Amino acid sequence: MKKSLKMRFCFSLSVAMLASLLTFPAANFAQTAAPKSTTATDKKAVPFSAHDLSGMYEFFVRGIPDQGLYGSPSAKPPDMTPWAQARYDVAKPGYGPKATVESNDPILHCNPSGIPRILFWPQPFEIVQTPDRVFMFFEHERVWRQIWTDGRSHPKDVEPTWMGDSIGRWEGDYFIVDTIGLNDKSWLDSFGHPHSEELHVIERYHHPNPNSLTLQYTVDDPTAYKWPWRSDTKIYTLLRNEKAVMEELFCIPEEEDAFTKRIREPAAGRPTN
Amino acid sequence: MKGKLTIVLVLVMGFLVFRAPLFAHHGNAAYDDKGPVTFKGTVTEFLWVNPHVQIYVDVKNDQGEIVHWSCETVSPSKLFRSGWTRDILKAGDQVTITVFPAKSHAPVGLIRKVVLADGKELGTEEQAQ
Repeated sequence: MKKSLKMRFCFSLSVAMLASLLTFPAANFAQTAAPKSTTATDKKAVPFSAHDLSGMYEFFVRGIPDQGLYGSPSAKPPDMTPWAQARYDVAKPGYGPKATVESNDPILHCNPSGIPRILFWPQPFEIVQTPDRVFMFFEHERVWRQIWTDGRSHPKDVEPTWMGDSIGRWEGDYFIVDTIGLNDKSWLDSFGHPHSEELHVIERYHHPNPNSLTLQYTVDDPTAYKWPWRSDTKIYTLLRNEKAVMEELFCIPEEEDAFTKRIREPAAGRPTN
Repeated sequence: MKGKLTIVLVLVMGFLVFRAPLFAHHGNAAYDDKGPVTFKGTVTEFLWVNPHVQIYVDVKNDQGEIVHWSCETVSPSKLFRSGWTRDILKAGDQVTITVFPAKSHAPVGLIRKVVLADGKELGTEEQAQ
């Protein structure tokens, strides 16, 4: 009985800790002494401002709800149109309900992840703010995006690209990023959900404390989905001190091919040549 | 038992519940994430490369035969943030490795943990702080 009570207590404690992680991400760091680093990413060195998003953040896949869906906005996608369903049916992802070792994920040929998928690799990205733009530099694929904050509108007849055309504005303490002009070559997520060139992504960033950045976003793509797909809240954590490093991580076809030959194919039970 | 292939099935409650799913950008479908396997062996090659760091290990099985295991993990940058360095392993080192083995039963695995000869443990999951 004692053992059972102890186990129940441990379980309750674990659930409570998990809940606090979701609700108060900053609680994790409350007992950490203020670091003495003077790196650009040390946000303790300057007075905190919810409007200063600069810093290096990482999307840690913690195995908690919302964080482990490999780039899916949420667990339940909207109904797909026949156009999207046909694409989804031929997608062979490495993750999720359709996961297969015979994946045809476009990134395996070093195609860019594109927006919004690039936001959810568990690798860091750095936000840099200038008077007229917010930049995001991603370690994964070594790509970057620019978000115009000078009040401009999207250009007319925007040419579809991997990263699209992004404009940003502040609504109170929320930074809203509006992106269009995305090509339809990338997947929305690692589960193989498609999108069309009509994709309109609206990201709402919130920076409630120096350690956390949260994101809720909406995927609006009437060609692919019957209603807008609203995301769960995604949590990014500031990297500090010696962890605030990004290394060169290009996607190199030669390296991908070598890895496929030495690991992926044998793991899948296919003989190597 | 030293030098012999020792397989330990670890099914600890909470292991799967509170540990993050392992990240491999190509997917985890090839691996059995419910039956980790641990073995001791000799490193034949340590590749500190993208997209995934690889450790190749010769392991002696119960019949005395050498099995050549191919083990993969996350990118060098993620390992660096988890305390690894590019020279932390070299050919000839004795290691104990825990992997999620390939469902195909080929000697290929997704690394969970590496224990060096001096007992130092290397995880592959980057911690937030």
